Amino acid sequence: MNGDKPICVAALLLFLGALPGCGASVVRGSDSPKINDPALSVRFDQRDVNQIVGKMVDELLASAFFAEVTEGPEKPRIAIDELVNETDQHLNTEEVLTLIQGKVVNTRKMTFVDKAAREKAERELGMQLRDVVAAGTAAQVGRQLGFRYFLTGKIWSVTERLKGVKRVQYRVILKVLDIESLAIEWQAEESVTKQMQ
Amino acid sequence: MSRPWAAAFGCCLLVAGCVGAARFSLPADPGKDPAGELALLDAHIGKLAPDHSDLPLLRLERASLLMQMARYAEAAETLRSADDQLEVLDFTVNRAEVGDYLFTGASGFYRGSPHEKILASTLATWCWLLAGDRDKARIEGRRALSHQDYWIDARRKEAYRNALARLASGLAFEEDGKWNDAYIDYKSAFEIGEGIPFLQDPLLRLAGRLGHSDLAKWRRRFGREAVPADPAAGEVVVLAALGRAPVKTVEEVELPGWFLQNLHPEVGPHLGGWRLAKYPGLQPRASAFDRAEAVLPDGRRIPAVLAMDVEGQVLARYREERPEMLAKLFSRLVVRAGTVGLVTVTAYKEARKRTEEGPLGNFLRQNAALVAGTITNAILDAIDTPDLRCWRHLPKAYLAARFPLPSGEHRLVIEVSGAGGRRSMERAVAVEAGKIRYVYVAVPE
Repeated sequence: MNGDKPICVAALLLFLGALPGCGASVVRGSDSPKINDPALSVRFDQRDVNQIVGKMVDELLASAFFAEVTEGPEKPRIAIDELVNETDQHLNTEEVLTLIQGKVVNTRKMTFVDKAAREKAERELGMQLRDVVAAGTAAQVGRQLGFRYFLTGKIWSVTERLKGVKRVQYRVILKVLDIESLAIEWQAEESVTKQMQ
Repeated sequence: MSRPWAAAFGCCLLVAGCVGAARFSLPADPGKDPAGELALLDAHIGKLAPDHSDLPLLRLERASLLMQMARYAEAAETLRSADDQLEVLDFTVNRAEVGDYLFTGASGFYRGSPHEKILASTLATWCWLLAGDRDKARIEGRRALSHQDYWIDARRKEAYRNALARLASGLAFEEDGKWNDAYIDYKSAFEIGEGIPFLQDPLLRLAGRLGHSDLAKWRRRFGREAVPADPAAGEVVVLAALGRAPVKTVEEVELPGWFLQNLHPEVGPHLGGWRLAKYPGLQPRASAFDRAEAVLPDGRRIPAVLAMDVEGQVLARYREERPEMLAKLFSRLVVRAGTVGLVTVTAYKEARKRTEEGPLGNFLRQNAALVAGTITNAILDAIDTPDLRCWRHLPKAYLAARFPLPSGEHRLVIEVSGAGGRRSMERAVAVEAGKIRYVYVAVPE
């Protein structure tokens, strides 16, 4: 009988040791940065946003347009319009433009017109930036709104399915327009592909 | 106990151990008196523990009754708590769970289908729209779509695309001035709903407003431009819930003839007609009305179009799951048939040892075997109670209509028609310029 005791004790210890493994495990992203790496779905996630924003900002800051408009003593004023979401999922597109704005503002070479101030001015004028551009009164309105350029863009997605594989390709196009001439001064494209099997 | 008896007893325990007792807690069948049913239901819920196995289902039933009684905010809150509690059973993904569908699971806890999970938050979105709370409608709308996305993406089931959820979410976004999000939902609802006509104008208007590249496609498809919105008018959205979705019923499987023939030459022929197993089938319910129209004050009639064919989706899911269910049932039948056979033959052999040859002996052996087999079958029959719980107040179909009306007080007539003739219901609606007002009618018969 005594010979059984070590086995019982070992089994009990094994059981107790296994107990913590039965509960849910919760970790913090700052402690385990890698938890943000795996794609859990084919949706456009935070890592995709960061990747797009990083590349877009690098392209903008390295562009001839940026060098040209920031060489003078006066900082160019730019407003943010909308990133039109042409995908089939709800995305926080404002976040993409706001992150770009933050990174460009920190170079202290461009001044961004506050979105709320712009919208207030638009309300006073009784039209939106998109209507302004369509109506061809952009130069005059741009002066009234107090900016020369505006940042706009679109995001598209193409979804394909074949034999249990789902692939979604996202493409983001950003451009800066001169509100007086409506000329495209800068444009960049980035894409992200996600696949689920 | 002799070895054969022990084996037979073991088989009984094995089958018995797989299941628990079924619980049917619904106080009444759907009827014409939602207030009376609600009172019964509330009294019943009041007696249950907060973690009772049937609560998620009873809350879904409660919410349906509250919607019928136009108590929308309360219905939305009830749907929220039902959704929080409701666990989903999808044995096409986890095959081990099929037994929980066929027979009341060991815990007896009600587990709904993915459709029920999606519908709980979809209906909550509609309830908040009807109650005039756009913020809560948007939150519930997001929840409905994330449930839907989960089942579509993670489980690869396009069948869970739901125009009713997209429509409600789109309305919540449109009312909030989130044009892009509203457009995404309307476009999706239009595609799922196979061209819901009243979405043509919102699609044209919003695509134009957003500068969306779909605008040219819509213009070609609809052959027209958007009808300019009258700044002095508002819009009305009517949601009509008609009929009842299918209910679960008992299907039976009997002992097959070949098994009886081969079981025992003397006992087998006497066992004919024994029920071997019961399992949940699905029974569509006849509906008196399948069409709805809004009759405007100027006499114009606006037909409501199908926004969600609940019955079709429920039946399609059942057809998809049936092979899996029957496979599980078959393995159970084998165990049960073996158990009944073993007990019967063992009883016969034991009786033979204790009786003498002759007519009386034969009679006693056969009857001992029959009694033992009957008792075993009755025990197993009582244990294998199919789980028939289902959302009995869930409508058969949701129809929707959307149309502009001048601002002011109006009396709208919603007319439903079908095999049961015609019935009209009048609703007062206060239309405000640039706003959307909602009207809900439920005709469960």
